Amino acid sequence: MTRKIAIGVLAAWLVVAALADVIARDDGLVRWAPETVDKNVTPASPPDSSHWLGTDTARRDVLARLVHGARLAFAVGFGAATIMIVIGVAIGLAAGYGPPALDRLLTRLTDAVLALPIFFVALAVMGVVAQPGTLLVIVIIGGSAWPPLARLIRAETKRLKTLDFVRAAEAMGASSLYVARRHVLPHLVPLVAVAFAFGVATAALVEASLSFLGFGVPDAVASWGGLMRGAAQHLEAWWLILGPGLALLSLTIACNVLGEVASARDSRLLSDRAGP
Amino acid sequence: MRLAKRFADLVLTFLMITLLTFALSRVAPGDPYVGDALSGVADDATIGAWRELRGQNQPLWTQYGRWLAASLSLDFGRSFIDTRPVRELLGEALGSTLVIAGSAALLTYVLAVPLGLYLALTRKRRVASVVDSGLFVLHGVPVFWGALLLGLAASTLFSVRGSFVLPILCLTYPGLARIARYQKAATREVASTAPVLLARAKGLPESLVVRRYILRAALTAPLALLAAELPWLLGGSVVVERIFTVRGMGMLTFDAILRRDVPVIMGATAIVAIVALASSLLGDVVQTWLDPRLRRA
Amino acid sequence: MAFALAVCTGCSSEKASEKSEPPPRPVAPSVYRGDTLPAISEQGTRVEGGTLRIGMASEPPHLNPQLDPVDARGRDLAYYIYESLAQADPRNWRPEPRLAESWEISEDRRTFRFRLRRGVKWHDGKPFSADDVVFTFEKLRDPKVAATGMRGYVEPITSVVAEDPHTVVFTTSQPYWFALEAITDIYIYPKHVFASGDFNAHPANRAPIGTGRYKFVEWKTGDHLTLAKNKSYYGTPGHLDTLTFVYVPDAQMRAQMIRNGELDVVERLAPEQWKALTQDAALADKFHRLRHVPDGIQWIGWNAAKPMFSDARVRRALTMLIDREDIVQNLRLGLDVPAASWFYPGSPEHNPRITPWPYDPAGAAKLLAEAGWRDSNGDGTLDKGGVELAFTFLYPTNNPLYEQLAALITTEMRAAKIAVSTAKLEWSVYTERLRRQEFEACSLVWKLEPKGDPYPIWHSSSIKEGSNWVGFKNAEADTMLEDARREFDREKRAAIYQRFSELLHEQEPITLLFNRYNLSMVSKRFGGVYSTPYGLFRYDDFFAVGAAR
Repeated sequence: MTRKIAIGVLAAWLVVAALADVIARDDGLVRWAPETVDKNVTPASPPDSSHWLGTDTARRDVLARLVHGARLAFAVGFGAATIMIVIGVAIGLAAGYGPPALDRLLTRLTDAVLALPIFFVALAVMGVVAQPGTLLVIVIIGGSAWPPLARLIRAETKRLKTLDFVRAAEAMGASSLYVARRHVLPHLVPLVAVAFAFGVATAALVEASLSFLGFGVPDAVASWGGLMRGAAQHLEAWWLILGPGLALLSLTIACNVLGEVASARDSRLLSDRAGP
Repeated sequence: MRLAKRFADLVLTFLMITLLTFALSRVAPGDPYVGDALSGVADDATIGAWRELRGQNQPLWTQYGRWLAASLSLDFGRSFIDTRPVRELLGEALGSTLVIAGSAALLTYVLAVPLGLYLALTRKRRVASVVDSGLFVLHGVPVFWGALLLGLAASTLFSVRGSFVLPILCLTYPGLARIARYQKAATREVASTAPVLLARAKGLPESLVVRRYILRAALTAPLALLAAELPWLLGGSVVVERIFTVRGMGMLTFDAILRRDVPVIMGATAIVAIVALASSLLGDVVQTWLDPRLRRA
Repeated sequence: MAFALAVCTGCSSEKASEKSEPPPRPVAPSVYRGDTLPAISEQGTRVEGGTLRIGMASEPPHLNPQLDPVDARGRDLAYYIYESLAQADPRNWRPEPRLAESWEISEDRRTFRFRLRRGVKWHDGKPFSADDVVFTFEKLRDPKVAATGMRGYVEPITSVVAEDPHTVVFTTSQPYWFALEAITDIYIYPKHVFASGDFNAHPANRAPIGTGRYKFVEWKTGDHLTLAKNKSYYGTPGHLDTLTFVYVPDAQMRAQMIRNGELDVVERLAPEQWKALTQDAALADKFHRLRHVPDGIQWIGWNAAKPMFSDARVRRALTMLIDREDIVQNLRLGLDVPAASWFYPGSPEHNPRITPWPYDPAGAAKLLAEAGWRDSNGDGTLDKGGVELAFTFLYPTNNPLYEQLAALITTEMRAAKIAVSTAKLEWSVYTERLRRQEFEACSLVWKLEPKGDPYPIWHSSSIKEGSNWVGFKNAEADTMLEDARREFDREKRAAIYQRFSELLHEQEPITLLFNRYNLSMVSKRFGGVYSTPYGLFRYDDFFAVGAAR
């Protein structure tokens, strides 16, 4: 039941994201393109018949940006989660299955990256890139979200290593790379699936937080966190907080539900779900 | 021997964290205040002079080595911006962060553990499932959104600023949701192990079963989890501190990064790194102490 | 004459101010209706003593007025504690003797001889002498001293010599009118305090000892900073006993504290907040609501080194595509005014004959076509010689105005078939890109000085060595700027600058958006309220008004 609702919510958002260009454009359902400024209103104007959810601080339609924000949320969520999975699995597997010296080094690296504040990484990287864009934000979020997953994969790999079928394969003279690929990796799939679901939620959250602080995607790109940033100056502008916040909440909860269901109440997985 | 190795690992991690931070702060370009000086003119000569004076023209390894040597005696140097000793700045920021983070950690633990136990052991399934769903939703609420909503609601009632209540609440709820649910799952797991089932089968009173068998084992989990949450709490949440204008570690680091105040960035990173490493050690120790199975290993 | 509301009274000519000193008067609200600008009062029964609480949005990094990083708030605080040889009179901006009693300039305009005031004491009781002056300038020229930001000021000075304990002589390498301003802009350090210890990390950088009308008392970092009246000041001491600068970084909080009566002064409010506060009926009797001194100018720069912006017609067309009236009315709530000329409004250098280019998309299209830009490949963007008219607008983070501008420009330019992308950069990265001229379009505020030298911003040599980031290069302009530097007569200099303004207007290297006003609230319990040309209040002239309530 819960699972069906979660899938429904996700599917709905996916449809909105896919059709954003059709829904919100000058002659679309929403009648406003996300980047069009309405010179007839003041910044952060409240909802009315023209702007159903009001305007943001730059006088753009909130609903149009909310719709297009879904696209960004998915782009960042899926993109960053994929990067996180690739790095996390690679490092976790290498640490868990490789020689002890490598394990030690990678474990220390994992701890070190975990301790770096993400916005510091974001600032430093954005400083050297000529024109920081959405792709960079995705890479930064994915590139700094992998340590918890790497730890989990490492622990799981170590456990699998002690199991009979892996030992048997090794005894039969299979190369460790072969064993890792053939016998260990497949058993990590459920774990990775769960991590991906949680990862999408976390990445969307981190993007929103970064954009809220003003260090996320470019302003021109519609982002839920970016909309909420405006509320810092306009405390009375509840329409900047409520819509984007509920959108974000529904997306993260839907992802978390799916992850939770997949993890089948395995407390080990639950503990590693990254929080906001 | 095992302890020595463990310690060596901690030192290695510490070096990695600080070196990574140092490299990042060097990669990030710009000396903002030079560009913003009253004259409005910052030419290459001025910026060169500024860097020279602060030793930023030296090779990375020299700079890092110097910093490391000095920081061993807890001398983190002076801020580039206000020229005060970094130690002083850290002390001030840690003060408010400790109050907020300490209260939040305590509150989290005090609320989450009984709640988790209750959810695991209660017979009122319906209430439990409602509370559980509530916690699940709560965990999904982004901290800055929660903070904005709380601020919005509270500002109509009283003056929000300078009060520590709201920041503490904002730092408490994510951990509360996470640890309570974890506690529930862990307790259920313990409750289904052989010794507990046996004790119940023997007809021991339920309260005794809980006290003697379940509590001890089930308390392990949240402690370790709380230890893992300490660095996040002590590092200070930038968004929460920003929304409620708290001058804690988060804002100190954030401002220092924006102003390229390298000594402050390094000092703050070192503190957070030490706390993170200490708490991971603490987590292990607590777990070993509480869980006899691990003690033998 | 009062600079308090300089733009509208237009009263800053030095000649005029010599003749009479009429009391400052209110200004009829020219743009914003519904506000009630009060007469900034010099009247009221003066009561000695009392405390003034000033809301401070940012804390200074330190209280050494010349040490890196120099920050406006720190310099402003230093004004009460330290003194320079001469201080511009805040009401007419003429140099008024302070630590120097008089000065003369030699025939060749290269030697400046200052006679120092006798009997001046530092706050710790030690006597002030010529040694302190020489020491100060030596320190600023010492490469080991972290005063890189202010070093440019003292660079033209080749020697500083104390002829006797009460005479100091400055020599400059060549005649330059600004040298006098530069010398008298430097606050003098007490040699006996700073002579020992590390200057860059000296305790006195946070607990200064000066000669000024107020003494430093305490600074609780992150909370407040207190100054107390210097009772043994050689001139007229301040009227208020205590000035407390309360650090309140959050704008909403500052507004709330004004409502609660916890602050007496807040400066530089955002338009939205000022509007909200001025419309609060409960505050009407209690506060002067001030809109004064438009000393900042917001602009958009076009990098002339990029081929598409090298044509003045294109730059003018871009200006004509930006609706500055909309920006002023809707984004600034009608509280600022569209800017016409680059110089300080109301100053003799300001050219009142220039009117801004109109907002005229049709005219802009015509200009662009004239310059050869048309949509020849039918892709919806203008092009010329195979190059599309497309650019990136760079702006700094953490100021909502820039996001508003970026969004507006994107919409306007798109309608005119110009492709705009926008990118915001964190401040230090942003300034670095400007300095390296790695941008196409950018935006910034220049703080206009009532008496400044535009050379570092507009001379072609300043492309490399100054702040001419937009790469403005014009031989005629260069000659004017060089001539002006050697012209010691302000009227004649102003005439040159007025012609220079016309040239700038024609060339349009930057699009001027608006002059930014200072928006403040000051409690009516205080008199002596006026604003300097820098938009600052001089709290040492404030006094408590008797029987206010």
